[in-house]
Amino acid sequence: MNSRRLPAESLTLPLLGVLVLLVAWSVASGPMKLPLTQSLISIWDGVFGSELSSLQQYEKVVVWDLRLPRTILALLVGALLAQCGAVMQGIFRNPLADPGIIGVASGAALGAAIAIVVLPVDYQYLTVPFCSFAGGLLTTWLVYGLAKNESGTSVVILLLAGVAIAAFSAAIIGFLSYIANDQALRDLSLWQMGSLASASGFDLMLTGAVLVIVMVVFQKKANALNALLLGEAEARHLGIEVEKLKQQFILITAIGVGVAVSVSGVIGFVGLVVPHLVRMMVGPDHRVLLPLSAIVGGGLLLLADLGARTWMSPAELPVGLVTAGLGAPFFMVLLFQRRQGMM
Amino acid sequence: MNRKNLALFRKTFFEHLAPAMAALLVCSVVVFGSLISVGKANASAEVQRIISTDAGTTEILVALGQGESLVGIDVTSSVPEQFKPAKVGYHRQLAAEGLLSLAPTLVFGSEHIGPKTTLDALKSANTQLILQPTATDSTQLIENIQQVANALNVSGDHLVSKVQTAQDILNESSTNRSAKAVFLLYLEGRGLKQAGLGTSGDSLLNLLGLQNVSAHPNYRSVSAEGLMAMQPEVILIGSQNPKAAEALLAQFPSLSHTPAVKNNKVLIVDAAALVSGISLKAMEEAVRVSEAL
Repeated sequence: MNSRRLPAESLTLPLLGVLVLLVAWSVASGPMKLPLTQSLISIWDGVFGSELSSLQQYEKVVVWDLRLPRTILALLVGALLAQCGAVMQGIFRNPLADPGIIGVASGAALGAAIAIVVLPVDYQYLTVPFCSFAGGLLTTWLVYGLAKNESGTSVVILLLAGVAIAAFSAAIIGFLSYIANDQALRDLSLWQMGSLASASGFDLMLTGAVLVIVMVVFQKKANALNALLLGEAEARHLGIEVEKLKQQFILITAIGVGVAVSVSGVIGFVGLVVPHLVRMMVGPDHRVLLPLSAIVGGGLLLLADLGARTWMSPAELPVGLVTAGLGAPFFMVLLFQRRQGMM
Repeated sequence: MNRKNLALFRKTFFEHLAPAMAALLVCSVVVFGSLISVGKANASAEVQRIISTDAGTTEILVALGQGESLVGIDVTSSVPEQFKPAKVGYHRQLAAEGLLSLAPTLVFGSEHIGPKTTLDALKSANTQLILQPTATDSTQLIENIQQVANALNVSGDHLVSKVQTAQDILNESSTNRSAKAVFLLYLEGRGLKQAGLGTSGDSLLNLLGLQNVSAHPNYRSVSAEGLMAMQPEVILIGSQNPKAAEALLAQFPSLSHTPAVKNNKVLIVDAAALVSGISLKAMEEAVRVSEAL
């Protein structure tokens, strides 16, 4: 197995190269046909205040106000979800874990549903992100509270509590959609499919800041996560405060995923698939796994969003459908190949 | 992975990715820190390129003979087959770039049009945006017709008089009626939804001078027993199946004990006419139903 892994340092640069190409592609393509070089020059113009690009003003708006923000948001959200997924799989030592497992996603969906159905429509652009974030943190806190006892946190109860909370949230969302009017219902179902379309400057700054914090903290604790792979008792013997570590990770993941969900809705599969992909390439060392997951996650979500906004143009597909619709079969193929390799 | 490789990895990673991330962050800050002032792009085109994101407005545009100018419509709008506008999706989740790629000069929508970022993008590209309230009666419908006609510099008088004639017919026939009525959406095999207050179905009942017996807002599921309790004297069924009344009675035979069924006052309304409030088609349907009552 080990011989098939690639050394991380030989992967980083090519992956970053691909990421840069993807960014250029994303900025230069969409329903509107704009020349690649002029699009890139117009970004240069935007950053440095020059007037080199020959694009029309409204074409500049398309590049600068529409494509660039959502390109950056795709990178940030993808990186955030993938990192949180890698960490969740690490602390639960469970390959099925994804960022939603601690109840963040279901709580966030519930918060958003309340904001969409019950709260006034005019302030939805504020209430939906805020409520989904608050809902995510609250349910995480509840799930964690259920799983905690004198001797520590039980992983099994944590998972079960997550499932129970998800079922409960689904019931309330079901009730809310029953009493919702047609518009709210439609908004709700679209929100649950995820979208990167309305990226505001505030969203970008918030997500960017959270991503930096999350990456730094996770990278610092990567060794401890590696030790945890041996088992909780073994990690304890190695001098790691397992309980404290778990608390910190759950809190940080909840914040990271909460922010990601509040700016972009529910985008499934990135947090589950990306860490597995990276692990297949470089192995389970978190010191390498985490940063590479961020790159691959950002790139993958960017690619998915590119598909989402070009396939059905001038209409647009929710990006969550693309990530799940393409991610799941791709993942199955990978698993199948891996199984064949093992036999 | 040995220590040396790891050190190398960390070095490459943080030397290359960290600056890239920082650059992206700076970009994102700069993007929105700077306000873009947009000079007016030349928009004095002879032929209008129209996007309509409201079914009612689309219908008015086609009736005014502007079908050729339509370059985009939302999913609820329908146009005669000879026109081939692009489908731009759901009117509350419009894709900004998708709309701009159609190079519209004029965009119509209802108060539900969105999201805000898309509207901002349209404004910055100097597209004229006309928002119309969804009509709940003929007065609003006439206002909407006149607004569309004015925007396009055409006469809407013939449409307005058509609506007024329909309203006159309804006024005459609906005196001394005020019967208890329900409007049902019959989802074949999946039960019934009753039109509550403020819905298009409710507007239609008002137009006919009938009294909507439901007390709730929005459309809500209703059982056969619930309908029996209401004892409606008129049942309107929103459906595109001409045999919906028979299907309904076959599925819920107990409904034959309501006054509406006994007096043969169960009528089908084309549900497509009510997608966006009181439309031109809805007025025609109202007149037809009124004459049948």
